[in-house]
This record gives sequence, C-alpha cells and structure tokens, in this order.
Amino acid sequence: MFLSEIKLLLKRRRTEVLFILLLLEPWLLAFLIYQFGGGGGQGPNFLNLVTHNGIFLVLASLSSLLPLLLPLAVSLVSSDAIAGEASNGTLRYLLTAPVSRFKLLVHKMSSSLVFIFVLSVTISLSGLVAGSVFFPVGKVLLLSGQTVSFFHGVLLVLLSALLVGLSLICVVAIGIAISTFTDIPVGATLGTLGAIILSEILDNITQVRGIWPLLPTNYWMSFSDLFRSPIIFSGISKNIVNQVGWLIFAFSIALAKFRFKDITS
Amino acid sequence: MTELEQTLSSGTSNAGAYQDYAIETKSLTKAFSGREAVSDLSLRVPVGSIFGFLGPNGSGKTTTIRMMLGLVSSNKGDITILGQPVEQLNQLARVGVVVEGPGFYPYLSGFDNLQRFAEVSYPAQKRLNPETSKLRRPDILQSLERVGLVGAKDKKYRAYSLGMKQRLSIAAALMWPRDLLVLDEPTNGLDPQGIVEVRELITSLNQEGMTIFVSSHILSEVEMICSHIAIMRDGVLQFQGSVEDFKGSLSKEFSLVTSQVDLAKEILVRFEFIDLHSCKIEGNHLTAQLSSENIEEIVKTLVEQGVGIRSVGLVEPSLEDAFVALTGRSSNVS
Ligand SMILES: Nc1ncnc2c1ncn2[C@@H]1O[C@H](COP(=O)(O)OP(=O)(O)OP(=O)(O)O)[C@@H](O)[C@H]1O
Ligand SMILES: [Mg+2]
Repeated sequence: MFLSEIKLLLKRRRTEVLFILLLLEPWLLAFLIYQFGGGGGQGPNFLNLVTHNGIFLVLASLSSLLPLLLPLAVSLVSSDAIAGEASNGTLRYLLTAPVSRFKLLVHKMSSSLVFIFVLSVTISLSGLVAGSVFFPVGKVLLLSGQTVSFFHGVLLVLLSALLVGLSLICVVAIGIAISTFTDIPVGATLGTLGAIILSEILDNITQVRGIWPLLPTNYWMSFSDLFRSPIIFSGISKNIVNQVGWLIFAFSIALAKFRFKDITS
Repeated sequence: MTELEQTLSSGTSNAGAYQDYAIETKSLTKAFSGREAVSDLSLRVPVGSIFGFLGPNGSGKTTTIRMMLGLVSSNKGDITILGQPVEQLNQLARVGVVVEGPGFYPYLSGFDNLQRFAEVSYPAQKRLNPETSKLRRPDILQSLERVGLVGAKDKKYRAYSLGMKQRLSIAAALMWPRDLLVLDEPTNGLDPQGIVEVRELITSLNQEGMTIFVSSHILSEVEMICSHIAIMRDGVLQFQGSVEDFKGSLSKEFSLVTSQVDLAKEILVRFEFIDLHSCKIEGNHLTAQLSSENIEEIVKTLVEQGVGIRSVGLVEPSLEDAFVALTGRSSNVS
C-alpha cells in the first residue's frame, strides 16, 4: 500500500513538473548571481557567499524556496491526500478495497513525508552541481569565521537539506488534516498554504511574541546554525520538537475527523 | 473452466458461517441533517440470489448501499454482510462493489488504475487467505476482457467514455474472487449492447455462485434476471420478496374503453369506485386500481350516468405499472 502511494505520486504529471521546476531553481539562481552578483539583504545571507564558494548555492536556494515555493509544492501533495481521493471518487473504492481509515491516513502521511525529504535532498544535489559549475568551490568559510574542508562543507549542506525537509513536516501534517475536512482539493491546498503564510506573518508581529515558539515556521531558518563552529543546536532541536508536535497534533485532528466521517463523495 | 472462474468459485468455498442471507439489515435508519433518507429498513438478501433493489431517484438506494459497505454510518439498526457485522473490515474483501458510478484516477490508464486497486486490496485479500498458495494474483487482463475493455486498457482514464468508465468499474469489482457483488446502477451510461452484456455477465457470475445485489430505477431492466426484488420509496421499503410473489401480490386492474373517457373518470372518482392516483388514460382507454370489487355495480352506475361503454373488464396489470403505482407517479424529487 505504501509503495502504491509512492507510485501513484510519481505517475502523476503534476508531481514531475513540480520536481523539475524546483530542481531548476538553483540553476536560475546561480545564473542570476553569476550575472548580477550576490548583493545585500538580511538574515543569514548566503547569496553574497555564493560567489566565493559555490557550495553556498545550496543554502541560498533552500532559503529562497523555503518561505513560499516549497510549502506550495508540499501542500499540493499533502492536501490532496483525502480531498483528492474524494474528488476523484476513488475514496469509496479505497475504503471498500478494503483499507482501514487509519491505515489510509498513515500511508498518505508517510508517502508525503518521503516526498519532502526526497525533494529537499534532490534540490540540494542540484544546487551542489549548479554551484560547482558556475562558481569556484573549495574550503568552506563558516559563518562564525572558521574554515573547514570541502567535504565537511558538503556534509553540512546535506544535513541542512534534511533539516529543511524536516521543517516541511508541518506542511504535510496540516495539509492532511485539512484535506479530511473537504472534498475539494484546491480548497485544501489554499487552506494549507494560507495556514503556513499566516504563521510566517504572525512570526513577524512582535505583539504576539508569546505564541512564536508554537508557530510551525518559527524555527525554519535554524538550519543555518549548522554553519557555525561549534554548531548551535538550540534552534535546531526546538525545530525538531516543534515539527513532531505539529505532526502529532494535526494527525490526531485528521484521525478524529476521518475515523467516522460519512463518505458521501 | 477458465482460471478466473476457478478463482471466483474458490472464493465461494471459503465462505464463513452464514447460510440464508448474504446481506441482512435490521431496522436500518439514516438521516441527513434531520431528514430521513432511509427509514427502518429490514432487508434480507438470500444467498445465491440476484436481488434487484429498485426505487426512483432519491429513494435511498445509494445511501443504503453506502451503509452496507461501511462508508456511511447508520443512525439506527444493524447490518450483517456474509454472516459478519459490517464493521469487520475484512469481510469487504469478499465483496465486489460499484457504488454510485465509477471512481478512478484520471491521469492513470485503465490498466494502471486496476493495478493500483489490486495493490491496495492485496493485504486484505492476504488476511482472508493466509495461505499464500491459495491467494492468486488478481487477473487484471482477464477482468478487463470480461467487460470488453482490453483494447482500451492503455488509454488514460480521463479519455474514456462514460460507458467505458462504467465497464472499468465492473472490471475492478471482478478482480478478486468474490462471494457477493453489490452493484449500484451498473448499467448507467451503457449502450444497449452494453446493457445486454452486463445482464448476461450478472447471470453468468450468479451461476458461478455469487450473490448479486443490484440497484436500478427501472424494473424492466432487472426483472428478467432477478430472482428477488425490493422496492423503495422515500426511504421506506414498499415490497420485498421473490419476483413471483410480487406478481402474485398485484390486484387486477379495471379497464374501460369508452368515447366519454373524461366523464367516466369523473363519475368513477365521484362514486369512489377508483383511486384517482392510479387512474391512467390513454386515448379512450381508462385503467385504474379498483377500490370496490363490484364490477356489476360500476357498469350499472356508468350506464345510468349516460356513459356509453365499448368494453369493460379486469386485466393483469403490467409489472411496470405496478412498480410505478408503488413508487408514485410523480417525478418530483425532494
Ligand atoms: N450527503 C448527503 N447529504 C444530505 N442529503 C443526502 C446526502 N446523500 C443523500 N442524501 C439524500 O438522501 C436521499 C436518498 O438519496 P440516495 O442517493 O440514497 O438516493 P438513490 O435512491 O440512490 O437515488 P438515485 O436513483 O438518484 O441514485 C435523497 O433525498 C438525498 O437528497
Ligand atoms: Mg443512487
């Protein structure tokens, strides 16, 4: 059943297009930086590091995709879980196949989780190649000033890919939960994306500082802490706890809603 | 015997502890936002029967079927499928279903769609048949062949015509050995040949030992193949039993030919000889259900009131008329 979900995902043209577009983004970014330079900007600014070391292209790509395009891609997949099956009319045939409702949710969730990690890792690999094609690569200068070997750097880059994948867990969880409430996939996607954007907005309003630690996007940029020596783990570990918390919370809501729902689609 | 037929009949041999009824519901009731779609329904579908589940639009057929398959919960009542409560999920592995039309992935081909459902149902089939030697792989090609869809198997589902989609859903129901088929309007959207083919398919599957529960709006469509029927109206069961019982239960109809047919109707209703709702007029021929058995009295009254009579008598009603009388003539759905 799990493999069947993965196959279903891969056989869909939309998934392929999403993948290709996201894999091309590092190349576009590399080209732009190559042409126009890194420029200024705030936050962990990987853009102007890229021209010195191509390896930073991965981080520049990930941090430019993370706020909007990655959540969009992931919510397209995760919010399709139940709502998409309902709108195809396949949900009633899955449940009478028969597959238990609990297992259906678990398989939908696990295939979406695989999707986010495959996505973030392949984007990183694409970025690594694009970075070394356009820019010099070599020893890596950390944000905290030390220099580490190229391979150490590559390892850190792949670790950040995993952390970005991990940050997207909340998009999977919220998407699946919302998709149990509607038979209209577009509505579920917009709802999920809306929730993520709302979280990003709230994360910038100081009046609600109190709830920041609960927001699913609050620790998203913590992966850049990997590029310090010693690595600062507090943000990273809070992100892990936060994402797992959202996974459990949203899955419970999905299960509570879906368990005894009348399937009239 | 083909391999599929062998797998199909081997499904029958491992049937559990049920003897009389493949499906039994007791006082089944379902309300959607306060309005009852199915009321106090007690159905008994004998093992080995072809059971026609009839009723006009909105009479509660699909809702009943969804409850039988555990898709929709009931407000009241019990359902037993193949001797087990419907809550026991594994039971459904022995039931092939078509509910409210086809439902497949538009971006997959017909073959890939069946492959997907074969993969999804494999674990349940395995639980049913723990000895893997007994468990055959579902024969996708053969079930496609049975519904005449082999030629279109690699076409994307979204490019299928309505009839092809419907055929694919029947093929999906036949992929595994089944003891029971539940088909909700399986001939919807089929061409006349398709309807005949499905009818023949149902008969031959039944001869292989499957019980078949099939819903329809149209009595004549299932009358010739069904051994039993149930008739629904507004969620309430109007009749259930064998087709012979249904024919036997019908009272004869009053038939009158006269040139003054409107006057005759007015008089018959005024003297309360007939029920206005059952009265049907075609040209100068009036038919109606009688409230009084005294035909002599009726003729005398008609003549006294000045109605000329060309012919009069009692006739066997057609099944279709009886069906319409039971389910109501109005085509208004609410
Ligand atoms: N999801 C729902 N929400 C509210 N009412 C519903 C729902 N599904 C069905 N109903 C109502 O239940 C009644 C029975 O509907 P059902 O679909 O069971 O009829 P049916 O006999 O299958 O009709 P048809 O021949 O048109 O398929 C109708 O009055 C319908 O409006
Ligand atoms: Mg229906």
